[in-house]
Amino acid sequence: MQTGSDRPRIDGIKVSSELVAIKLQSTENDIDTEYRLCGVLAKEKINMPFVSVSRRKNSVRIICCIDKGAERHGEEILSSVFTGGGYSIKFIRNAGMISIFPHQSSFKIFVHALSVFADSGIPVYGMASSLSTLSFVTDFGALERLICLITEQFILPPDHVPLRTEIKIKQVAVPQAHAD
Amino acid sequence: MQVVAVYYEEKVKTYGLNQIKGLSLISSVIDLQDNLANVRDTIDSIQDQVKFLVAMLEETEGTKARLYFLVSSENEKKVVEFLNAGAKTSTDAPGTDVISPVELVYFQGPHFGDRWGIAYNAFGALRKGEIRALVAALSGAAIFLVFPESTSDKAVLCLKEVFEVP
Repeated sequence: MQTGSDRPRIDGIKVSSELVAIKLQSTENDIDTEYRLCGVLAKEKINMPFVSVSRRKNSVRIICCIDKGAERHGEEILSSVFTGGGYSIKFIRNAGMISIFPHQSSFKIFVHALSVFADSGIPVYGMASSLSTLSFVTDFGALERLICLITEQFILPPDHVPLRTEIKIKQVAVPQAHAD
Repeated sequence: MQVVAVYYEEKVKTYGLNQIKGLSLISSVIDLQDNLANVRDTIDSIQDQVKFLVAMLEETEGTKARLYFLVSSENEKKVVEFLNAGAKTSTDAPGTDVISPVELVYFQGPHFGDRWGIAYNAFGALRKGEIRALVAALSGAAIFLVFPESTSDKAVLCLKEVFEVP
């Protein structure tokens, strides 16, 4: 645990609503795995507030999240598309995201945040940086405990209150800019 | 009270495309239980001298995770040393991989993290140009794409076909 002088300073924490995390790995030489995954979900108008993609040798690994409300339909359709020996797909229900900001591109802030998970045994399924946030995909049920732990391990403004998803965005169909 | 705001966009709006070349993509598998404490202890060796452009993590198996960092090429050595320090106590340390040079394109737009289809537009544009990202991180309202050397110029042209760039 960190002493006061070791604690990095951040300005805030944000937590998501309940999500489903999806881990997809293509072990065959499918060079378009991420395009196909995103296409399946876009066709169903399902948003992904988090996507990470990595490509190593002949394998593509994707971690993404969809809203809990899209769980049943999303699982059904993705399981039907990414079936067979070349794919491994896993759905993690009751997932959530916690983000801290600003990360200041700091390795210290990153490692301290990751240590919160490691020291508490709370799983982290994926993480990605954005312009100012580090977003961790974890268990939804652990979010409140993580808020407490992060508040202990970082210096936050005294009047800080975690941000929670409040705005709902509804997008109607837009013309596709590219053909399949 | 409910507030409703509506706007129409012919092409998906962005606040601009940014491109950086001459970078290093470093990845390493660490055990969050066994190795992270060592990594944390060595962090003072780099402190704020080195900044990451992109950081990403994928859970692999058990308590292990693969970390990805995108940094400027001149900082590659320091980051590799710092990550390797974390692997000292692991008997099956796989080491640290480096791809260099690589190139970064990143951009953000209104409510990117809240709207369906944005990632599909981006990957579709790249697919049309037969370009694939080595690493892609889409969270918040921004998209970060890491490309092999000499491919980001074409990636930018492809992305401009589907995204409005001021």
